[in-house]
Amino acid sequence: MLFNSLDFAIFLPIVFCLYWLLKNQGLRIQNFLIVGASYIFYGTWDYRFLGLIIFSTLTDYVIGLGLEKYHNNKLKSKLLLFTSILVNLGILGFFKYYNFFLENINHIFYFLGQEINISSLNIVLPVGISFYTFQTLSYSIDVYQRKIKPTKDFIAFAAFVSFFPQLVAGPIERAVHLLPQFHQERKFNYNESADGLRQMLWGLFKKIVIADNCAVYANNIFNNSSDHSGSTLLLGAFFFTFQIYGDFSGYSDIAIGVARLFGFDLMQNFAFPYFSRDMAEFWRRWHISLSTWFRDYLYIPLGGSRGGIGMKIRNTFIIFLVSGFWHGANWTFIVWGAINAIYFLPLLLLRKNRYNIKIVAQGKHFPSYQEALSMAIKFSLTMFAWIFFRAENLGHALSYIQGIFHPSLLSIPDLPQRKNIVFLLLLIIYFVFIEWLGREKKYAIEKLFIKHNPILRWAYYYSIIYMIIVFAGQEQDFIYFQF
Amino acid sequence: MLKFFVLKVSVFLSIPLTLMILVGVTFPPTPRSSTSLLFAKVDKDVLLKESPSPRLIMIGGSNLSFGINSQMLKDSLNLNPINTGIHASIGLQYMMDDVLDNIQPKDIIIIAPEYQQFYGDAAYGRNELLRIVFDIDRESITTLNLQQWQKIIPYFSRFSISKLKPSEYFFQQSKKIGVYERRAFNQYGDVDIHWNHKPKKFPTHRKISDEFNNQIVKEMVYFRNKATNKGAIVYVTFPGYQDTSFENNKEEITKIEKELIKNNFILLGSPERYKMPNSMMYDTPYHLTKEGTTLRTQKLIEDLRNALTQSNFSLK
Repeated sequence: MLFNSLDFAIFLPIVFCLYWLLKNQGLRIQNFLIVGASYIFYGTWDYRFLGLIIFSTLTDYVIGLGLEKYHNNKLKSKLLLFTSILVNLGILGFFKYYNFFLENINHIFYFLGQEINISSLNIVLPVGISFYTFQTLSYSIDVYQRKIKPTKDFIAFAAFVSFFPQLVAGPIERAVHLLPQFHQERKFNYNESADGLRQMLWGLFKKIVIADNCAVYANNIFNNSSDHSGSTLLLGAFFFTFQIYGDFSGYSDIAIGVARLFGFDLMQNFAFPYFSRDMAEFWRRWHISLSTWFRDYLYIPLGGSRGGIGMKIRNTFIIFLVSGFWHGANWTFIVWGAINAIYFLPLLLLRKNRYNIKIVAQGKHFPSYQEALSMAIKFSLTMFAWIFFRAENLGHALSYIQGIFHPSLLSIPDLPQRKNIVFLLLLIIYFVFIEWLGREKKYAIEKLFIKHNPILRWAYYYSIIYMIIVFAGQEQDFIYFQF
Repeated sequence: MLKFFVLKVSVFLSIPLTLMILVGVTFPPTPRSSTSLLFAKVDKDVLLKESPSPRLIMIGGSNLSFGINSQMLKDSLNLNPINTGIHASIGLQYMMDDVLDNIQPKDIIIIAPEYQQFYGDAAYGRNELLRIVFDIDRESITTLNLQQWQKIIPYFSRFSISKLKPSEYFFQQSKKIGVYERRAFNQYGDVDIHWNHKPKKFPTHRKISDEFNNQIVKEMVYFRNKATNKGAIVYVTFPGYQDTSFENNKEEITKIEKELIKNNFILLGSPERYKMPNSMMYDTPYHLTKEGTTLRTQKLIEDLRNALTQSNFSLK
């Protein structure tokens, strides 16, 4: 069930009304409803994989209780944690990486002059597997590290694992933050709910107007890259840069907004990353829930940036390569991770990785020239790296880049319907303008027109709805579902 | 507070919703939309009702309108061709339902769906179906099933708002006939206006990722049974499909062929036979140039002749 589908438009009000009508029946019933609704939500994609979620939930629930029971026994605790890691990463590894490893083993043997033909399996990747396995894994690790007490309430735990707003594409929540919310009594909060709807509206705009329209051109250009001029290829990379941001941050906004309707607070996942002035800042603002997950559960346990230069370089590469690999079983994602590590390392080694903590031009209308230049350079570097992320394979990415650096780079893009492209560029300018105005908030329109006359405010919201309807792009799946 | 919230959200949403429904249902088709290819349905409906026997009715999307030379069919087979193909996004379900009431004894019916009609929910239509049932053929709205409604409702808001755009009312129709206009269709329902145009660049179809739709095959069986009861004969053939797109979807196309055979459809040719070289494509993997159209029609004539001989179907 997609957030931007009719099914969801029917599903959400029903679940919302039932949820608040059941308020007096107690927390357990409300949590039970969340579990049921979440399973329906997930089951509409592929009910067969519900078994996987239930299995993962059961495993970590039992392991959590075991960790509590044996907290004085180091060996048993470690064994239990190891089991959780093995099960969760095992599920992920099988469904997501099995064929990738097999193909690469075949290639290695072929390279060594021996042909082994292990045939690949026809495996369907369950939607959102990378998200919920990481979420449950964080629970076991946090219990092991005694950051959180394990829950005895299975329903609350099942609701935490399967909470439908963030089940298939995050934000990847930490048990420390989300799980206690399933144990707290929820009161309907008018302002929070209204704010949630506002965030959903902006998320839908990002997805339907920006991402889906950019996708049409990005797909066309990337899928037929050999036919296009350098300038067109550059435009394709530009459109993909906005597509992926609109798509993923739009999804996160909708997820966070929906959760707020139910009285839950999910973590911010994007904080205007394209306004970053360097790559370190970008990674503090892009897919925050994943970056911080890797920071806390991989980078810091590896020693973080505490050791010598060698250790810093090693840890940086590990975290970025793993992050790339998390996105998919393809060398393109690994190279994308490596490029980002290369971007990030100089800042870390020169101790400039925490140079830009606050949002750009805080309290001002415009950035300084230096800030504008830094943002432009950082944006170009990000756009370059996205080419690898989007390409079918490494050969495609390299030929795409080669195609950009061609004399035709200075020509006018060779695309039909230029009027539509100009119009899309205008929409992107509008989008960037609104994001700029709201960059100090949690999401762009959080406080926009909030103190104005309600008629003006409603008129503004209607204008967004109008744009969503009239300028909707061709419906596309959310990109991050495949991860 | 909860009640107030629900009430406020309901009011907020009901204002545009009511306006949209009112506009969508009560406003007539705009002058601009009336020139679109979808309005060719009006002419095709007349053909369906008034063409005399012996008739050859072709059901499918634009692979038919941009891929059949009905004059050739008429000259070779001595049948009165009715090419109902307009747009694949009307959906195979509606295309069949729409023809069903107009079938006469001895009609020869050829279904030629685009391959995508067999996957996912493509057979239940999209925006184009909504425009057909609200702007062109209101009566047929009762034939829509739940799946079709589910597919078209999301487009309703956009459809309504389009009726409020000044550009829909104040425009000048170009003297040059565009390929996607009602005027582009000839007397049999074929588009031949592009035959002198140069082919255009277009993206190939990628591998179909949706699940096979068994239900639509059952609907085809239902249609065949109904048509047969009325004294008609039903064949299934394959669209003229660009070979690159064909190779990308070979597995999916083979599955379609197998399912059709399993359900005892009489097939005219095979998917492989109707695979078309890139050089014969006009502007999509289903739209043929003049050469492509001629080649496909020749093949169809051969296949239909053989099939008619084998089935001893008497045209008299």
